[in-house]
Amino acid sequence: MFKNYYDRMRPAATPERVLSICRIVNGGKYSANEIRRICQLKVCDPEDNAPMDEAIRYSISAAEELGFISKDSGGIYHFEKTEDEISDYISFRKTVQKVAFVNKNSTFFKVTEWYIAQNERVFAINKFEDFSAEIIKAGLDRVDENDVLGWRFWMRFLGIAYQFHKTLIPNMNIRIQDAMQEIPKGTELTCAETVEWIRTSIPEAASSCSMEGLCLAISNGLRTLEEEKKIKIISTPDAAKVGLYHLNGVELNDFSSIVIKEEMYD
Amino acid sequence: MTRWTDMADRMDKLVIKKDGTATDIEYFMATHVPFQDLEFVEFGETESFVSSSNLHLTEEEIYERYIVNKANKHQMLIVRGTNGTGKSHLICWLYNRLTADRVNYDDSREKVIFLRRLDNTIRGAIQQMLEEGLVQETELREKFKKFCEAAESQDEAEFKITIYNSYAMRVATDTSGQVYKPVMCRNISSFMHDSRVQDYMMREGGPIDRCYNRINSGANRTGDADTIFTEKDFVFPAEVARSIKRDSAEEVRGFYIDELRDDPDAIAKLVAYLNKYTSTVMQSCANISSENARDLFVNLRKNLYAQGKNLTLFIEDFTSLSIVESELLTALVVENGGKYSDLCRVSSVIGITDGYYDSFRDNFKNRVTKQIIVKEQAFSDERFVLEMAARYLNAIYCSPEQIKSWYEDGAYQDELPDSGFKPDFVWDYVNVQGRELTLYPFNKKSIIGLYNRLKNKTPRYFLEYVVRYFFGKFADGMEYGDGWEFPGLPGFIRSSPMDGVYANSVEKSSLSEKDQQRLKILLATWGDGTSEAKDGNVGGVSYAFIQQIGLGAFKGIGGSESSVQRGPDSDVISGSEPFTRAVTQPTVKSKKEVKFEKRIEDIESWYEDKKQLAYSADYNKWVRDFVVQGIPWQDEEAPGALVDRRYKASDFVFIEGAVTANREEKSVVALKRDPESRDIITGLAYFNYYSSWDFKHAAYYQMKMVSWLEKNIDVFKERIFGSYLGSGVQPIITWCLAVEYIQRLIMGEDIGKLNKEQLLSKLIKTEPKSPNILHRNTVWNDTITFLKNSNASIAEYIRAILKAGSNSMMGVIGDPSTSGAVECYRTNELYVSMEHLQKVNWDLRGELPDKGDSRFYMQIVNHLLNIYDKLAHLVGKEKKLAQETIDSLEKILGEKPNQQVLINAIKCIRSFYCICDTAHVPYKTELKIKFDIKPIEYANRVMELYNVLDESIKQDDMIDLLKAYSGNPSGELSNIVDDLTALEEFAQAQEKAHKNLQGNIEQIDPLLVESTLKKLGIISETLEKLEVGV
Repeated sequence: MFKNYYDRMRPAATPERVLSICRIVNGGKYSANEIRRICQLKVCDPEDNAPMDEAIRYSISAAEELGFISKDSGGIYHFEKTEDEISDYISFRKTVQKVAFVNKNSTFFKVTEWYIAQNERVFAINKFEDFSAEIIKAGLDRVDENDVLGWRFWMRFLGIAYQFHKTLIPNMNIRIQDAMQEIPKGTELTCAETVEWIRTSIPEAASSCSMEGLCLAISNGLRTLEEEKKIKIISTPDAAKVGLYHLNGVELNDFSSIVIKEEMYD
Repeated sequence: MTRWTDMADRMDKLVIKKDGTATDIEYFMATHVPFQDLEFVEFGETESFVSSSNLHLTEEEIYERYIVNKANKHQMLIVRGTNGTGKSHLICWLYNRLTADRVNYDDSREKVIFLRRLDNTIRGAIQQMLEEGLVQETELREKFKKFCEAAESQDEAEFKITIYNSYAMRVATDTSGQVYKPVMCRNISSFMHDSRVQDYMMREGGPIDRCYNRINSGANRTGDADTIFTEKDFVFPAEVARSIKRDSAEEVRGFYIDELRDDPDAIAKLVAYLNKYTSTVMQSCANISSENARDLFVNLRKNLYAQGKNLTLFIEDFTSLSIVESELLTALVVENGGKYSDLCRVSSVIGITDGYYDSFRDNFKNRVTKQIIVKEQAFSDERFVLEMAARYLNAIYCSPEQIKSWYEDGAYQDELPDSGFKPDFVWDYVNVQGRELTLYPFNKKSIIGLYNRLKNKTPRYFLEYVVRYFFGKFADGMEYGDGWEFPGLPGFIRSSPMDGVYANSVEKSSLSEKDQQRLKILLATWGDGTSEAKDGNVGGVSYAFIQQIGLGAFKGIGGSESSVQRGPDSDVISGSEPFTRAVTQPTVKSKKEVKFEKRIEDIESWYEDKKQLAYSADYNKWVRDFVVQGIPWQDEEAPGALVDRRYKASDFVFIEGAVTANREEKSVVALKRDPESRDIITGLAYFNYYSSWDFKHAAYYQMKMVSWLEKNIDVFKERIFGSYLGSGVQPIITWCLAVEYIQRLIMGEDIGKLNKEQLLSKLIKTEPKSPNILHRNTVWNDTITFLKNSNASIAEYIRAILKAGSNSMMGVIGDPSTSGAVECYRTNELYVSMEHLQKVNWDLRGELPDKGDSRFYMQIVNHLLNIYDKLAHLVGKEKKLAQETIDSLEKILGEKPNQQVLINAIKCIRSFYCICDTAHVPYKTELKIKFDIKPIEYANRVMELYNVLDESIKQDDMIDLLKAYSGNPSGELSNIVDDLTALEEFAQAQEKAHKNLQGNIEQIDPLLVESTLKKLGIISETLEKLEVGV
């Protein structure tokens, strides 16, 4: 799922399952088969040697690729993170974000980067097979519909997009909010600082954001955060500004600075 | 500058009068917009009506060719068209054009008469004839005067009876046999005189009412009132029909049932027959004869001829002359010359509706020279409407003196006065005859938009309901500067909302709600539907104008990439340009498109007009799907299975003001009637229509919908899960585990000693087993019955939640392909739950919520609390039974039991049965079998049961007690006590029998008696010893 270069993004490895397996391994050191038996509530049946279900196998792999667990030479898995990082889904999400978007050579990163850069061009796509066709056209020729089905679960979870029927709505408010929590409250970022911050902290959107303007997913994410009163978008006349992705009917289509508000940390 | 209120007064009194026919001629001419496309049909046949070869002429061409009538020809021109298409206007213009034509009109040679439609009544028509000097014979003039006076003074009911009787009398005396045989005419007359029929015909809105109105009241007529009787008048309501059949005279009933009822052709024939008499009925009401009427026009023509004059007659509406209809036609169609050489030439222009013309007799139609067809298209193209508006506004802005002077100077169009009025900022105007006439305070878009939204698209309605209405409101605001109502939409004009994505910006402004509405109407109707500020305009409307009408607090929002700079519109309109474009261009729409548009209108009227939301079932589903699919529930540690269950319930969404609204307090999502809800539903309506986001403003709607979702996500979760959505552990799963565990203990499952993993596997992956024992404790049995009975509903539900809710779920909730079939439990959560349950010894009463928003959660909580309640009662009763059982055992053993006592007892019992066998004493085998057990095993089991019960007596914890009692130790030990008691009773009975035998010993073998008595004595002693200890 999050490996370098050639990789498949299997739907079976959902965030829910990966988190569950992380928590199990946090409670003890187990072989893959033991993890399976725990997941299937078959601990008391030591004779059970059923084949490994792919939901569990791929989820163990994803947890390993994300660095939550590791396997020793004896085939036993160990937990590699702190308990806080899996204490709730938000902590887990933030930890995943830090890992999943660092490796820019992964199929996962590339597909995500492609999606963010598409802006409204994805609006007409209402089938996942069409998504994969468009991704292939963009040069990622090993991505099939099944990969898109797996990838979209993580898009939803990581705060990049919202699924509605077979469409994905680009809006990175959750991703931005997670990344912004490293910034002290009350901080005012100029538009240039904001762009630089995005390019550093949200690498999957870096290629879609510049001083020329921000992509749709980031722009609408910022607008959503403002509607939630978590940030304040300011457009001061005569100040240097960066364009938000243009929307008809909204007050601001550019900004000179952004203020992080206290509500961000609620 | 003239005051605005003075201009509004001028508009009301001079320019746009309520009664359009009373408009002063100078204003009529100043505001008249030339008809450009009048269809011209040769002769009078309606069959030739539709023909591509028909001429299309301007009004000026018609005037020059036919009204000027240089060839001095006899002619009858019919001006036809449906109501409101402008026939009257055209005839009025032709009349004024002729009388003002100093070149072609010579009043010493041409008598020009214009019979207007005064009050829409016969009386008005007759008064005009008197005033025009048409009625020259003294006797007839007196009769007409009397008729006018009578029509004015006579009691309405009396006049109506006169009318009705006149019809009936005409029918009764018809012996011509042309339509009906005389005998049938008498039957019809009788039918009409029947009180039930007469009452129905005299009803309000009935034929006699219509006839009376035609003569007298001046009520506005519409198309279906061209004739007096209609087919509908003879389709009686069921009650009237029944009454006629039941109560009427034989000939009336016979005519109705046999000749009229259920026969549309017969009814149509009767209607046409009665309508034929309308003219003569009216004449009889005026007490004039047909000869009088005919002579009226013949004499007029003779007199004019004698004076060396010809006659040009303009009749605005022929229907109003129905009293002299046939006589007038007869007089007009007779061409002068030959044997009629004493008559003057007549050139007549007659306005008539299509319906009335169709009822003309063919011999009249044959005499019609030309037909001028006035269709809606003659006035409904944009340029016509714009020019009309500009001319009327110009007339309002001009001083009356300017208009009067222009008219007196010949009313030449190229000299049309120009008020010169213009606002201080750039504004739309229309070029009329080389003059730039302002449309202020309207612009082109508002003029066309408002016209298109009129229910009746006619000039009359346009002037009254658009120009007059809006200008009046505007002038009022301009005059007083406050209390602005312009441009509030009246109810008779359909609203057209501004572009939904821009409405929000207005609604968020500091303007009052009323002013927000005004601004939205302005931007939607005057502007481009947006609120974007650009180049001094807001939403395409000059900001200066917006300031002028008190809405300057709104300055618009940032510019649009796609908006095109919009300057003032101007069109050069020259009177001779052909009209090519209709204002409304109907297009064929698909069913899906129509359905979509209905929903958009529904949403707008719900928000803007506070109407009910008609298609709420659709919106509920869309909103529900968006909420359920938009949130990655499982990934955010919310049991997907529970969301899926809630998703499938019917009352997920509440929308304020919906026709079929769910209960707000029970719904997960509540949408108020506010701009945000409107945006969400509208966005979803677009998505539903396009099946994708590929539509205008999709990105805006997405942003609004996602923002709304994020703002409310905690509320949605709480409405589904209550405030008990955990992290790392799910309280609901803990509760379900508790229910399952306690239920199984009550059912008697042996699970008390299982470890955590074994217990989880058992509780989640196996079904509970029903017990097959009956407890002595009735409360226990009742509780089992309760649990069994609730299995179909809540217990099944809890099991499903436990199984599915603790398993992972792959997919998107709300998507049919989403599955929780693969076993990959969130085991760690289950372990945490188990550890907690064990810590609190399965008693969650201290932590269960009293109430909650989540219906599903509370169902489980209530069930669990119910079980705890029953359990408390159950173990309380069981504890008492346990004590009783212990007491009984100790009593029968005579001391506290221990292993040795019990071993001795069982040995003794077995010995007793041996004696019975030896002595051939009969006994119950089933009782004996119960003691056929090794004494040590028997003693251990009894002691085990005794100890469990004895220990339980010291316990207070409900769950510990349940665990102790779950295997029914009390029942088992009680059975043992019962067996011992039964045995004791049997032994005592044998002892008694033994004593009896001692008194009657000669009857038994003495040796056997001696041996038996000896052994019984030993047993009896043993038992007595046991009893001593009690």
